[in-house]
Amino acid sequence: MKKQDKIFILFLSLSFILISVILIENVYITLNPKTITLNIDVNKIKNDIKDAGLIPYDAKYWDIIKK
Amino acid sequence: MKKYKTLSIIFIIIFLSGFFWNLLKPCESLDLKKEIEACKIVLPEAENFSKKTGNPLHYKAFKFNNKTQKEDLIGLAFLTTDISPEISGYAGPIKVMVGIDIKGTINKIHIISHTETPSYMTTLNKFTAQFKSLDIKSKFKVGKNIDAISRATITSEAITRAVEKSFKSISKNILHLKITDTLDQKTSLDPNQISLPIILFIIASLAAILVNRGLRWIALAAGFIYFGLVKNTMLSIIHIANIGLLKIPKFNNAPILYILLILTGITCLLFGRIYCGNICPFGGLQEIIYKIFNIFRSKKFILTKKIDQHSKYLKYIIVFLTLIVSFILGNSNPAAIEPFLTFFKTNTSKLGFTFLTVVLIASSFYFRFWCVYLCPIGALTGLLSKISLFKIKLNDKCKGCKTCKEICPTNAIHLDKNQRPIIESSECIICNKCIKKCSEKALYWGKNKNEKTR
Repeated sequence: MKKQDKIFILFLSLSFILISVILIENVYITLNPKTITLNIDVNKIKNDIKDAGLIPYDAKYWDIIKK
Repeated sequence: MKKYKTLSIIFIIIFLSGFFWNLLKPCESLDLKKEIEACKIVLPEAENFSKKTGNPLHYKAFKFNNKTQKEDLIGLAFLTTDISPEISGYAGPIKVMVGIDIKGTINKIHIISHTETPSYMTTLNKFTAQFKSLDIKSKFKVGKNIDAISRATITSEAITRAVEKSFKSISKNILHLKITDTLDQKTSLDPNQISLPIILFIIASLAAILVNRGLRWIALAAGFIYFGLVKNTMLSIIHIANIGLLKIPKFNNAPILYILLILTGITCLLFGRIYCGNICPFGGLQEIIYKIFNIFRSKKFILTKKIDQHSKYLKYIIVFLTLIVSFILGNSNPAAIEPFLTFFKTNTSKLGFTFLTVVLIASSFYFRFWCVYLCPIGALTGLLSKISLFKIKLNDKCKGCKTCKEICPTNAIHLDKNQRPIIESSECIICNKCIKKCSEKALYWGKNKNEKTR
């Protein structure tokens, strides 16, 4: 096999592997979208409220929001 | 080649199967749990929510008042897709829950679901936070008081318009607040998005027919600047998947996409791969890289015929794979594999940049490496080119010198038993080098008359 052919097969194989990995990554992101989750540091907010001299009202849904 | 017929049939079967599967599958039942959770997110102070009722549809949010021992109405929550379903994002509807207080001020908005490109949505929380405290007198203008999500203008405008329209509708009809602005805002159509692509395709087609290489480079440069840098819009397998999934944006939201699809189809059916060879920004970039590196190279990298021919089938495998995965998931996001998305939109993962680097390096050795061996759009336009009205043809002046075969950069020219060149139209990018270099003027543009051409 010529040198050009070997280099070509190397590039092509690498490209196909990368395409496959990107495809799998995209499928994973589609099935587990990161963007929908909220990242709220509830304890930080409570501490900020306490620092302001107020009492944080413990609404029922802190636990759901934390998840 | 008979194999191209088989490939075309496979593509049609996959596309139609996916199309009808997504058309006929039962609609997703209302995910009430997700909606209630979203209500709690947009109105966290509420202790109780009513059922979704009213016109327009909304949830009422209540909080127990210790003094009166009754539940007070503290706000309303509503879905934009219930009130303004006609407004959708780039790739389909975006379900947004909006929470407002009884004075008509937005407390929070929360995106429940969308089908936009995930890599653009990483700053979604920052975008949605801008809607807090907007009221009926506020402006809802992307680019003015609302910063758009980077590279996702259509998505940003869709969310903004949907929130504004549904918010004002609820404020007017349920809270009975005075709304002076009109609720119906139509996006104005930019005529340049229609005229400029048409002009570009005309130049590219003329470059092909008149065998003018200068015009070809003008078209490639213009394509790189306009479609690549200015509009960041190139034909992608994502668009083909979205057509099959019936998730194409409305014409007013993305006229350039429609024009690109239509003109590519028309020029393919008339002349062949005009878009690939004379307009595609990424194709042009690869050609420039190859030409620059060729200056420093004494010998061209010539592949063995068998390896070259068999490798060209890889792009068809990529088409079929990406379409099948997209249709099964009912979402075109998995099909975002093309490196030009990374190059022109610069908003992607490290893996995407690695892949782009590999392709560009390979392009320095092998002419249009991505286009010839991997591009799914190249595969599809190639299949369509098999039935083009006009093709490069051979007359009797051919002396069998094989210059055209040696000069063809994509190895689209083979020799038959009589040593006469046959041009593989599915691989030909219409650079017209063969016509230019032929000393006998044996190659010419002519009408395809159902001859035994390949």
